[in-house]
Amino acid sequence: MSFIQMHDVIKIYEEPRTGLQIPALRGVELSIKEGELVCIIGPSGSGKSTLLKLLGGLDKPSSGSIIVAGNRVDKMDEELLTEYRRYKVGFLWQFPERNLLPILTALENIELPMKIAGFPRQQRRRRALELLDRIGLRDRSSHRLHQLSGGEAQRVSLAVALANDPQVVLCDEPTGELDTKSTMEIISFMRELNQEYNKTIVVVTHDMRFEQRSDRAFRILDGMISGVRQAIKNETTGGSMAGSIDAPLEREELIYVDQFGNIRIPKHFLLEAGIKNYVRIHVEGDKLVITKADD
Amino acid sequence: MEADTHTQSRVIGLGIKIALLSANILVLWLFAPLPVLLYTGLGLSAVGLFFIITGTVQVAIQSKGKKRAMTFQRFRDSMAFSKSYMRLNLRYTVLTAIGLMIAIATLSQGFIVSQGIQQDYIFSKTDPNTMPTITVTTTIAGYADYSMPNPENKTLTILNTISTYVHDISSNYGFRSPEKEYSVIKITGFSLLINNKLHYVTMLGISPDTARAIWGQEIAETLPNSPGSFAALLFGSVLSSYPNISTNNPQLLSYSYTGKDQNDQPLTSTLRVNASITQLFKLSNDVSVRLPFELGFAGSITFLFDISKIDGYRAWLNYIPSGLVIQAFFHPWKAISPIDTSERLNDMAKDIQLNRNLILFDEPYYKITRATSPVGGIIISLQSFLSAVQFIMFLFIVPIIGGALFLALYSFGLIETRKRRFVAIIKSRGASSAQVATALSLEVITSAVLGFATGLLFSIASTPFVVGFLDLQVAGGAFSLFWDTRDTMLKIAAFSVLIAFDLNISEILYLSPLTVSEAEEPEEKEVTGWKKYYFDLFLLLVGILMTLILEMLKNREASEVQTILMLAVSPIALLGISIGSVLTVSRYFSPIAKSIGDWGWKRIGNITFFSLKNLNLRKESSSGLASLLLLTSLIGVFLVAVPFSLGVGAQEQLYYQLGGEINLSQLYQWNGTDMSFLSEVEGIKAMTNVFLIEFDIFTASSTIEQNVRILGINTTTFLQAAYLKQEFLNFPMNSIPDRLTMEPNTTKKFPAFIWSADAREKVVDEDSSITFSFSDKNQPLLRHDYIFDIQGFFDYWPLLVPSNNLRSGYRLVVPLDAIYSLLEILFTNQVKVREPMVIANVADSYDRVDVANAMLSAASKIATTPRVETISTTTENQASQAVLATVPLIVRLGYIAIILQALIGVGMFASLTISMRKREIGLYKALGMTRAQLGKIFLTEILYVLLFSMTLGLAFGLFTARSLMIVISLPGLGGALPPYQPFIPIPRILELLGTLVTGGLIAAIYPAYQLAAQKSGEIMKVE
Repeated sequence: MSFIQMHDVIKIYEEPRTGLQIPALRGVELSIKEGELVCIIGPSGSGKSTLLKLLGGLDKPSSGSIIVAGNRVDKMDEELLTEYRRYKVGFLWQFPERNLLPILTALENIELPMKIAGFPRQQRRRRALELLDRIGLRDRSSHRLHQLSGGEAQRVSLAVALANDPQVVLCDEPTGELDTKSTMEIISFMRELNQEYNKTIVVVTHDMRFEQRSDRAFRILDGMISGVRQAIKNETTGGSMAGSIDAPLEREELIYVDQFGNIRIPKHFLLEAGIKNYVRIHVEGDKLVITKADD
Repeated sequence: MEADTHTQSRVIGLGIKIALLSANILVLWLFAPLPVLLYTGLGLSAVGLFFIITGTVQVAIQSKGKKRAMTFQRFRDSMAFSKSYMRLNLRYTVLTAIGLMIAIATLSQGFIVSQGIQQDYIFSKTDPNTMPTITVTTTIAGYADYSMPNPENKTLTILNTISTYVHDISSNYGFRSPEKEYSVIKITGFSLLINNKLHYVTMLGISPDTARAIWGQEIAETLPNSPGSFAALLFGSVLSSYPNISTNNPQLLSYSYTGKDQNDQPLTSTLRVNASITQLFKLSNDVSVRLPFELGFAGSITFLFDISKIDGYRAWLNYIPSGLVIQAFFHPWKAISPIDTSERLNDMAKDIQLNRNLILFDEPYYKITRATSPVGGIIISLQSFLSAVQFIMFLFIVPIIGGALFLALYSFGLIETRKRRFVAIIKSRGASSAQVATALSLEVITSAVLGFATGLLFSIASTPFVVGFLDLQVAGGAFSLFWDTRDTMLKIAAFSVLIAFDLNISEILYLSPLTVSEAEEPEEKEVTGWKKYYFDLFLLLVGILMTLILEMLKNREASEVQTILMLAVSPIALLGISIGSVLTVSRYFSPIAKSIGDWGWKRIGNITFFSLKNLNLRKESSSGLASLLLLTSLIGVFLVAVPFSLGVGAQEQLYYQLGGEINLSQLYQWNGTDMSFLSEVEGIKAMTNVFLIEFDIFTASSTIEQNVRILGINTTTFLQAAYLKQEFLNFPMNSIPDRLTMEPNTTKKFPAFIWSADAREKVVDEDSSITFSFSDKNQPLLRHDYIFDIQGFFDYWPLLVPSNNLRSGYRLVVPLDAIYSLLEILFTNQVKVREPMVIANVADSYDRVDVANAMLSAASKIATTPRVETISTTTENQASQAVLATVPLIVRLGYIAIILQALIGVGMFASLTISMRKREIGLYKALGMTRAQLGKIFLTEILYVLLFSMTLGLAFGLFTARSLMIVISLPGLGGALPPYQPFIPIPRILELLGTLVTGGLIAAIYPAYQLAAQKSGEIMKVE
């Protein structure tokens, strides 16, 4: 059983002005194992953020089922969702303003989710300091949002997301606003967390560096998962994580075949093979062979 | 689905806001401490509370928070989080509290001052040199409750509260019983000043039926029938001041007093209350006590007595050596049969008047205030409470409160957008709706309580300085000032707290159930096309419609229902027109505003700029611009147009300074209902002609010095009326017309009933005289004294016709000829008439053409007669003059207070809009604008906005003033102000504009400076 499982998830928005129905997700199938660091990549408007919101219980799917850590997120009422957001997931958004309250210090911000959850003061403080230590910003504990650099703010934000020790961390373009150095810091830091605490991390991004350092990268296009690029399994590390943190992992490309047999072939394959309109297709043993057809 | 929930909660919130606000406004009216108002206020507050509870429950149900087991845990959760939240958000809380504090301090101060003056006004009438040993000084109208002391303890204590009183009266005692009519007559609220100690005395008369209802047949029968005994009870702290009153012996409660009568002769009076009191004590532990509304001020004595034992009552009155003011009225909710009771009262009054041996102190009067329904009672009480000075204060208070409300609404609206983000973050971190709601509520409550406490303290502390600064002649010094006004101050403070809470409650209800994504994205649904004007136009239309109704009603002799209608219609008219127009104008004409902006841009030739244009380009432009215009036009309305148009500002320039004037303000054709019976009587030729002449006399102040009303009928009518009234058989009929007919100009004596309404209503006593004084504006010290001798008034007592429900008091009908004489005398001798009398239509209906002609000629004389010479001087009413002289000071104080408030508003606007426009400023910076250029933008922006909206505001203000005048001059409200005159105080407008522009700039400087100091990229980064 997958840790995160989305089955045939459809999300349709209604345009308030015109009343037009706009499909954001059109039957997403997704399954993520526990402790994986997963990227979701795709052009803007492809439904990445919608997918993340659905996972986080911030929005509800129009149909389909979503299971996160054994919870049927799509079936939860507001009360359960509150609990879910409180203990099961942590969020990290692109803009620090969305993660951190400007009137609070870094320490207080980290304590906030624990305050909401009602942890006793000492426990809160201890954990917050621990997290600050972990992100290497102990000396910045009394600084507020505007006194932190972008990278620091995102690191604090990550600590906030981890405050209640959630099993899943959902990140929406966490490095979108950052320079290369900070980006690498965040990436490696997340990788560390992922390994150290066995957190399942889902990152919506278009940052190739992130993609290259994830376990798997789902490609989303027009509201559907079109394929996945995953690290080639390394026997020594048991399948999840391979090689060093900073080095890009070796990848292989998988394409999703939907229930009707549709597949979407990534563009670079098409270019490479010179395929334009039609292909020839036949089965050889356990292989499906696609070859360029004459026009 | 979700959206529905939130729309609903928003609607609920709005409903609550409205309900609570109306309740609070009613509570505010309580400075006329009328129980009816109190209960109405409380009732409406209860409705508001009901809404809150239902709303909350509904929202809770809708958000599926049904699990009861979780409730407690959630509550604990919420409280724990709220505490942290409070600590985090302390800055905001403190800021809100400071705002409230200022509001409360300002408001309270206004009342302190006005009440101080009022206090002075009442007491300074008392001349210590002529004061009899027992003096009736004033009535108190705050009342009343019944307490139940236990006679076994021989100690009378106050036990119950007002609610008990109503409860007992209405349900236990069955006063509302439809089958039986019980009447209670309360002779209430006179005070005895004994050895410089003031004691309040209350008497309650009770009919046999009522007595039976209360104590049962058996006991009622035991009530003694002898003069001098009452079903009476004594109570209160007063007792300690009456050493001779013994409560130990219930057989005889007696009170002896030795003093001097008006001729300085020793006189001993004894009050004995016997027998019946014994019965009461024996048969019921329940005894009645009256407690003045001003809690703790003094105890009182309550006498319960049988109305049929009036002789005894009167006999007792005769023992009192000197001075008595009796105010007799029913409690509206107690009077089942007003006519019956009023007849009894009439009889009683007549008896007292004819038989008593009383000389009243100062200006003797006795008055019967007649209340026929709750509303009648309210209006009459208002009339007596809203004296001129208080009225002016009141006029200021209304705009202050209005402005405060608007500012609060405006700022809360802005804060809401900021809080949304806050809510989004904490919700995404797992905060529940309950936690958010609790945290927000706690914040509101804390800031309200903080503001309440500090504002009150500040207000109290500053009172002596304000009083000293204004040189108010306040009786009793600062302490008594505070003591007497504490009640009002508490009310104001409570009111402010409520307001703060009300204004927030809908935001709390609205924000807390939002989901994270909803909180993140403002669901600004853009309404396009004509739809967006629907609401504005609807408001406007309603406003216009209501105004038309108001206009239609205003010239009538309003019935009670009409008055209620007018009172109800007027705020809708005002709000509808003002807000509707502002919204329509600002939305509909925002393109115009934009082109003005473009024009400004070209003209000044700056690169960037103009605010209206910028605002227009923003998404929230329409609502932003609308609220902006609303804010500033309201400033215009309240600051400029209303108070000044109402004659305060005009005081120095208009006719009030002209000295004595008689302003024939109104002339009614009068068909008193009580005379209608004449038409049904055989042999009566025609319906009678009765008319009322009413005019006001102004002296050198903005308030009415005297309001004179004369009711006249012709001689034939008089004779007919006299014939029909049995009592008249006792009068020598033939002599009546003779007595009433006077030669014009030969004597100043004439028969008339003059009812003069100033702060102290009075009815002229028997065969006495009343002096009107007028001064010349060029020689203010020289005064005309004109003495009207009133003769024969009490001879014709039975001809007193009650006025209609709204007009309290009684009027004597006098022959037309006599009226003619009066007019002749009045107008040829002294008075400049402000407007010619319009009597043609009245004259048409007279059956005697010659009289009509005489009236007409008198009218034309009036119109053409110039003011003539001055006569002697008196220094009558110096105290009230002194009080009135402080009016301009009060006005100034109020003006300053309003300016301060406006400054806060504009400042808030300036700083908030600037910080909201970070990105824009960042862009300007990126384009290379200098700080000076930015400054120019702000200045131009504030100037444009203020000019544009103050013009708008002035127009609305003039309209508002006019509409207010209609309401204010309702007969029932006393018509305490001079006729409306449109007045545009240009210097004040300029002054105001200057102040606000400066204030706005100062407020804008800090955020602008801060922003200007940052790099443009950094500014723009933050959205």
